[in-house]
Amino acid sequence: MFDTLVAGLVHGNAYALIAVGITLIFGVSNVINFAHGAIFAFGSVLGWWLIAQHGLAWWAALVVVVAATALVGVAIDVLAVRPLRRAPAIAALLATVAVGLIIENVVALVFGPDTRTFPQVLPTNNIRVGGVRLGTSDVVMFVITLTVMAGLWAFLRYSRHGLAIRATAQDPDAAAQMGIGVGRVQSLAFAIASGLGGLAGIFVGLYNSNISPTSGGIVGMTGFVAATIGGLGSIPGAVIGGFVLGLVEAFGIYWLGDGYRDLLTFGLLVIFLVLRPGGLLARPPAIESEPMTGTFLGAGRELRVRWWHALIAFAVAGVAIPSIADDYGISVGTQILAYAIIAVSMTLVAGSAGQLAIGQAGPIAIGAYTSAVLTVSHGWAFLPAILAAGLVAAVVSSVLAAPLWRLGGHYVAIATLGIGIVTVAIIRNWQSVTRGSYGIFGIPAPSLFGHEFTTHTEIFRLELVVLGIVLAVIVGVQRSRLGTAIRAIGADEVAARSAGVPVRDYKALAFALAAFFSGIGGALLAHQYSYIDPTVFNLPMSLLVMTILVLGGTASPYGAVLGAAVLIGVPEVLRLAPSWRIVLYGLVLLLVVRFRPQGILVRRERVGTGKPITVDA
Amino acid sequence: MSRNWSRSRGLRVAVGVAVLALVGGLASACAGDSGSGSDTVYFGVSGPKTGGSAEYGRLWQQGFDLALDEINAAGGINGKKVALKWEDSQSDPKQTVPIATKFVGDQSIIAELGDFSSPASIAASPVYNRGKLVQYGFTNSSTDFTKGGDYSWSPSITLDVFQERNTEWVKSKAKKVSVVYLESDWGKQAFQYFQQFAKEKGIEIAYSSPILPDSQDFRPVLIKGRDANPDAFVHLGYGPDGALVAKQLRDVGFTGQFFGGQNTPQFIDLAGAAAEGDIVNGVFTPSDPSPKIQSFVTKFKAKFNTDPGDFNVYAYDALNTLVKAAKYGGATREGVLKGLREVKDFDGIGLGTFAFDQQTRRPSGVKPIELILQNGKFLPVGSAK
Repeated sequence: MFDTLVAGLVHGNAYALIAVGITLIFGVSNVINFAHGAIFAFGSVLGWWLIAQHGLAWWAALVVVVAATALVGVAIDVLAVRPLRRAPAIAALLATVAVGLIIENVVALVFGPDTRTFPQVLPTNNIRVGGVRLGTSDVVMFVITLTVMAGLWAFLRYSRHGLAIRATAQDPDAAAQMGIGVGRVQSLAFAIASGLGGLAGIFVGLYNSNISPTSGGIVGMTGFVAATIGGLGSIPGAVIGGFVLGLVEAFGIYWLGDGYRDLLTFGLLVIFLVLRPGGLLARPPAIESEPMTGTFLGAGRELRVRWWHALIAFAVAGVAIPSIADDYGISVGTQILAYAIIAVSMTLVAGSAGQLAIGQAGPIAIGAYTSAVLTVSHGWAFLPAILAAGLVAAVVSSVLAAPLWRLGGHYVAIATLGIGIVTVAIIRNWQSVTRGSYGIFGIPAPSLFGHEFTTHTEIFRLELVVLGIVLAVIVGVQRSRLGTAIRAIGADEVAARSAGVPVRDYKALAFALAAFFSGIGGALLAHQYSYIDPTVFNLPMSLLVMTILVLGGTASPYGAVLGAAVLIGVPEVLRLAPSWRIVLYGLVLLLVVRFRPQGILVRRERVGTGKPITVDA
Repeated sequence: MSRNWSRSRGLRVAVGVAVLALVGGLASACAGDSGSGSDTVYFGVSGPKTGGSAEYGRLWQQGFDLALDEINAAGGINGKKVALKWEDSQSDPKQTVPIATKFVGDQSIIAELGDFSSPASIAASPVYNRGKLVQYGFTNSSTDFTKGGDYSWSPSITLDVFQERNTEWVKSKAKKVSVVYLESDWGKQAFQYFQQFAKEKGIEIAYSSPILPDSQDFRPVLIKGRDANPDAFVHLGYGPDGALVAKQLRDVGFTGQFFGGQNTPQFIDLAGAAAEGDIVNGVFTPSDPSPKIQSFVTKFKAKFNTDPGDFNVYAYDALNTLVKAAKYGGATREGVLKGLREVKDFDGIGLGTFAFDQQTRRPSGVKPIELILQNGKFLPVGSAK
């Protein structure tokens, strides 16, 4: 028991270091920095390179790594985040996703993708406490954490730059009016946070003994959970959150086994968001300060797509594409269509209601598994199975998401992310029905009225029809009174509520509709792949859906189709440059977000500057 | 004004990118058919070059490169040069399907090698079988893989055989064990067979837990496994996670016998002293004194300056096997299939001389060897000290 406690504390310490960086950037820039994990991994690999390859003393390496990661942090701010200050907050989030991809893959290309041993510069198991062995390195890391936290606290409390950071965090506009260089302050925050990430890279590398360029993903997510538990924006909160998460994981895994780790980590996140959305130390977010609403809709106007435009496009796609493209091209086309179906349905939630869901892999997985289990294990036909897939996805997702609609702003996005991961973790552990990690093989090809859709061209046309139906429904809803009500919530929730619109119910309805079609999209993917397992429905899938949506314009269903074509088409085209493929993809993503933060099919309003008009109270 | 102008330029850039993506996609899709009449024969490789399994792709590449040098120096296949077309799948079932479609449509490819994990390969099997292109999943030890159809072949020893041997070796050292296994299709199947054979041989499993592939800290699980007081700890997984388990086991104070990890230089390197005395299944060891293997090791070291491991050997053998099949049956898709069916004396570094069982499409009668880690080298048990 005692040794589990020690293990939890040591790991919690590492989470705390990561979480502090994430929370600092969030506090100052209102951006969830998804590149933080990649910086951590870069720090650990750079540390390895300096110490093991070049024989640098460990403390010198520490200095170099902190400096290098701090510089990378500033670069992220200047190149990716700052140009998007006036764009919807989600655009900056996606930019950090793109930067994370670029950093992770460049590091892998430059230093090699291998897992390697971190040099033992400090003893890691020379002290015996109970049954476990601790090392000087753990003690040093703990002391460094405490020192850094105390130093950071004093810096923020007493120094001029610290005051500027806090002022900017509280109200960037007011800070700017007081003559604070908000941009420089933001860069400073990125530098400090990223330097801490690099520091954590070295110590976690030392503690785990093995490091790899790809280790950042999971570490970044866990640090992010720790920051949220502690209260986003609160530095002491991040430290406490780190230790709480470390201990819960250690005891939970001791008790249940490592297979439940995702469920524990993200379950804890969801529980916190439901019971205490502000985290341990921060106040729950007030609805007035929602960063998302308004900004989404205010700045852009959708390009008008008339029904006959769509009809022509569909006719061309259905007839022309199968006749020019070969099987490979068509199979890419079927993927594009399945994702388009999912993304189109999400425009109601994201664009109209102004709510972000970055855990859409959850409903997609529920749909895919429902249809797969029904057809493979229970002999259902394709059509009823796929309809059931939509229904189950809608019902289950709505029940799971019910507590979300009290939350506002970023917290909805974070909660959906958690729920998405928890959903897939449940699917993995519910082996008697879902076959867990074994996956489900031999999912039959789609068939309707005795006709089997076996070739890619047939599946392509089938999915084109489904997409047509989804588009008709979603555009219909958007133009109906229901759509107006949902849009009112997205434009101004307080005004909508004052006007008597039942805000929560409509948000939930929009989400249920999106989950229904996402479930159908997931089922189509399952029947098209013929094989699914829980690893298919991962975080990158959720982010892909989100990216498609933002790229197309969050409120634009036709834009979502175009977004799917670009984001699934580009990586396939980039197969021409295999090793740089993901890096190039990240660059394309970054450029598109940079230049079209409102989406491809959305044009800036001609009237006004596009900057939301704010009146100080 | 200037603001509007830059906005519309942004639009043009974005639309330009979109159009390029679509046109490029169609163009590259159409470009696949060329080259069938040339004097080069291609094998398609579907495997990880990026992502979590990228290092296996790198190990494959070394094995392939050495094999290609030798094959082409010896005149290729009946005078035709041999080359690879490699597509990065990240060993992801979502990506192997379009890759399979691309390979099937590319007439210059006469057989496919890969993918790394069994789920990634099995997802693509229907495409290869419908397209009548041999899918040679040379690392796919899942018993289900070759059930995909007449075109799905694998030289990999299956998990049931591996675990039957594994329990045999565990039995000689321990009566009671704690087990951790990878939470994946492969790891769970391995554990299922381990349980079955452990029961048959009378080994008690005192504690078991899956471990997630992306976990870094296994201490909570290992502490509980240690508290169950086992004679030995068994790990069923890959090299990197095996090294972590071995090291962290020593950190939580377990000093008994360890079974697990993988026969790769990387595992030996990562685990260091913590894995001394570790026993694994292997197909190959660089310290095997036979002249055939020593000549391979020498060539490999000369080219890459490191000892070869199992995954280098798998790739090297796989390409040589397919080339031999093509030499026998002809450098065509049907030729490769005919060769796999009729050649009786395939010759590998890992498996020795073998022929395929036509029912299971796997080598008949091959068995792994028992290797023990001593002073940083895997040696056949009983050969040293």
